[in-house]
Amino acid sequence: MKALLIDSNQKSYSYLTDLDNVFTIQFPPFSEWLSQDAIITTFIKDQIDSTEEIDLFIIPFSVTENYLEFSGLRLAHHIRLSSRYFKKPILFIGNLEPFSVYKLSPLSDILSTKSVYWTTPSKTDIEAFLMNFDFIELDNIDQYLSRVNISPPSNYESHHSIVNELALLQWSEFLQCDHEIPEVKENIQNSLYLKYIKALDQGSENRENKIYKIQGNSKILLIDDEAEKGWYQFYKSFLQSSPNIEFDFLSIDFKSLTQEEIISEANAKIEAFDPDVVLLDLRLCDKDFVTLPTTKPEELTGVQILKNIKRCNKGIQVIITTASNKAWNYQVTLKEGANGFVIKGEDSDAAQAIVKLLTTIQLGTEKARFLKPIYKVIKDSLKIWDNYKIPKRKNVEDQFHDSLWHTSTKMHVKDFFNNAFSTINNEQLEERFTISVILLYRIIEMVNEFFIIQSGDFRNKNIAYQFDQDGSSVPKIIYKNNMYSDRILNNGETLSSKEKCYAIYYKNTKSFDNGLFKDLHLLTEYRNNVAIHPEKRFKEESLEYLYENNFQRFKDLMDSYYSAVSKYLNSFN
Amino acid sequence: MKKGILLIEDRVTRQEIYLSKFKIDLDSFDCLDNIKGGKRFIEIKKDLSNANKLALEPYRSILAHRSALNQIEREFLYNYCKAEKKPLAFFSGGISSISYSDNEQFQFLSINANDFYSNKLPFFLNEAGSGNLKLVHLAFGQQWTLNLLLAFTNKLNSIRYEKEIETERIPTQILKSKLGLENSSLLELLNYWDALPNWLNDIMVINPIEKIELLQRKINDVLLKVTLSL
Repeated sequence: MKALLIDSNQKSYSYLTDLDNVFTIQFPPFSEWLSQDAIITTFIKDQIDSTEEIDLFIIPFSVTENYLEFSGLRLAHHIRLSSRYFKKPILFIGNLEPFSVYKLSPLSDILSTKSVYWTTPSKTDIEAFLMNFDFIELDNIDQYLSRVNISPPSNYESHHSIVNELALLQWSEFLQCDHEIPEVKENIQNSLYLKYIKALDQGSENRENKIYKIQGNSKILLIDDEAEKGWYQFYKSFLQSSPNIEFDFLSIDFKSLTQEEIISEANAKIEAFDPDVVLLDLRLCDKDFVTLPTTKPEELTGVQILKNIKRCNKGIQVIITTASNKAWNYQVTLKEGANGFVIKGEDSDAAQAIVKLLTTIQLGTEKARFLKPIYKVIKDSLKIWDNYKIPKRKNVEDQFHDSLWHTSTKMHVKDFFNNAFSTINNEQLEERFTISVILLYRIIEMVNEFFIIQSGDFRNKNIAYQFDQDGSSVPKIIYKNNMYSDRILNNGETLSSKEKCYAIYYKNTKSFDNGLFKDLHLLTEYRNNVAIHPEKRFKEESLEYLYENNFQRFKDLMDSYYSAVSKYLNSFN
Repeated sequence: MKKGILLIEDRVTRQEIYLSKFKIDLDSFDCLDNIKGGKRFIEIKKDLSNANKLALEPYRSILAHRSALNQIEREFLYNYCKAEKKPLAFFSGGISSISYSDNEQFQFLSINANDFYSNKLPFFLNEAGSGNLKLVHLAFGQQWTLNLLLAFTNKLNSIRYEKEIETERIPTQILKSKLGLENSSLLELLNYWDALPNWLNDIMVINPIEKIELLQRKINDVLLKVTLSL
């Protein structure tokens, strides 16, 4: 039997060096700039793992100057978690009985694991132990892992921080960009706690040289307090094969700012960068890590930033990047409009996690491409519509409408426009795009009904149209030889909703707008031929089909439909 | 009373959270100057970056959040404290273990933020306020005596097995020096437990092995009492 005695850096056990079959290595001296974990990791790599044939370790409870540091216990845990000799028996030596050590050190649970022994540091006792005892090895690491519990240092007290850092390293290793995050890598490689967590959750380490590419132009913003600790580098590497992606991050000193200051900095960054997709962490300041009975999830810094983003533009896609899989995270952020989740540490398989990440971001960029401009159009138009002093309707008596119709019309237009947007954003609805078109068309009808009075009927061919406010006749707008003109309606001639729109627009602006008329035409076509007649349509005509199969055509059509309503409402400026 | 200890912390909320957990009111310690973020924190960082030691001079000891300082600031602070022999403690959430050293009269401690903002801190500040400023109090709290006793037993062991002690007689001064009994805290502690035998005052110790074994038994009794009381 060949035993390795690890003497303390004070050489306190040099009297044991002449024991038979025992050779000694001295533990390295104290360093002001290196953590004990870093010293131990290097020591194991350079001195223990390179030693040929060790049958038994003899380790004092402490290998440093201060007994209560219990650095020997720490060293033994490291040996179990990272040495090539992890199965070998360990004989602890110390003046304290194990029951006292249990009281003094949380690392002492290794004493109750298999293949661990204890005796006093007396030369005679150790000699007797070596002569008479049959030391046995561990069969597997689980015999150790199942009996110990390594407590995290305070930086890792929340599950969030650990998973975050491990996922960062795991994903970066997978993309082979881990050299970009040396500090994180070193920390994880050295930290006893993280070695322990990694051992508990051994993941797949298959690497692929695959290129991950996000299609299309997009601006992605990362808001994460750990951005500068490696996540920015990770995403930068992840997105490097997507040249049309502009990527930036919120570069502020999160730790020294209050929650209000962080939110304010985030708002300023969002306004300046104008992102399409935001990768948002929920816990961004110390306050977010405290869970009191009174703490509301809505108070998390990330949730408040999410609200602000959605207030700014609901089309910006917000992907919550979190290491927490708590249900309330989903509930609260979904309620506030979160569009996707990247759960760090959810998959132990990095390949799977990276593909999920890619899909989530790709989907986010696609959605933002059509939703963001649409929302801007809606927001700008509703601002104009809000400021528009809608007149009181003059010819109420001949309709079924109540006297307050002028106020309810104003409100209904706003609601329908917002609901049209919510509908396209609601992925639960199978025909969300088509339904939104019906809502858009209804806005046009409502406005038309408000401003134009229709009298007579079709059968008697005495139908007539008058503007409600001044009683003047509604003209027909005609387009001929690339020119627009207006004329008086012939007897019995009817106007479609589209034509009423043209007339109102002309009355409001004294002009014709080719673009608007074209967009209105497209909207009407889709509404009449596809949306309200599912029995007649070809599936290739539907927006839902185009969304999946011809995104550019889909986007162009959606832009036209929303632009039609928007320009129409803007004419009331 | 003049503030003797400077605490440099940038993570104000974290400090408040930890302190409230242990119901510690740092303002009640007259000896402590707690710089927690804000303008004063920016100023002290600037002083450290510019190697300006004036701001540090009024203090006898400095406790700093390691991650609040960059490498240059940290190194300046360390070199200054070492040269001036002012006890220095770095605490951080990323530090996983306690490392304490007291070499060449310079006390240095590296400690996890969790351990730092615990009951050890008021214990250390109370002792420091009474003129007994020792970082070992911050490192191990009230168990610092146990740390001393255990270090002493290590020394007893190694002396017990050293070959030269097998001589028949040894001057007590040499024996005391080998045992580290010049250390006033240790001496006080052993006297408190009545653990030091009278023979250590004789000029020559006869049959040192026998005597040391006797002393070891006494110390083991003390250790047992101390650990049973934990």
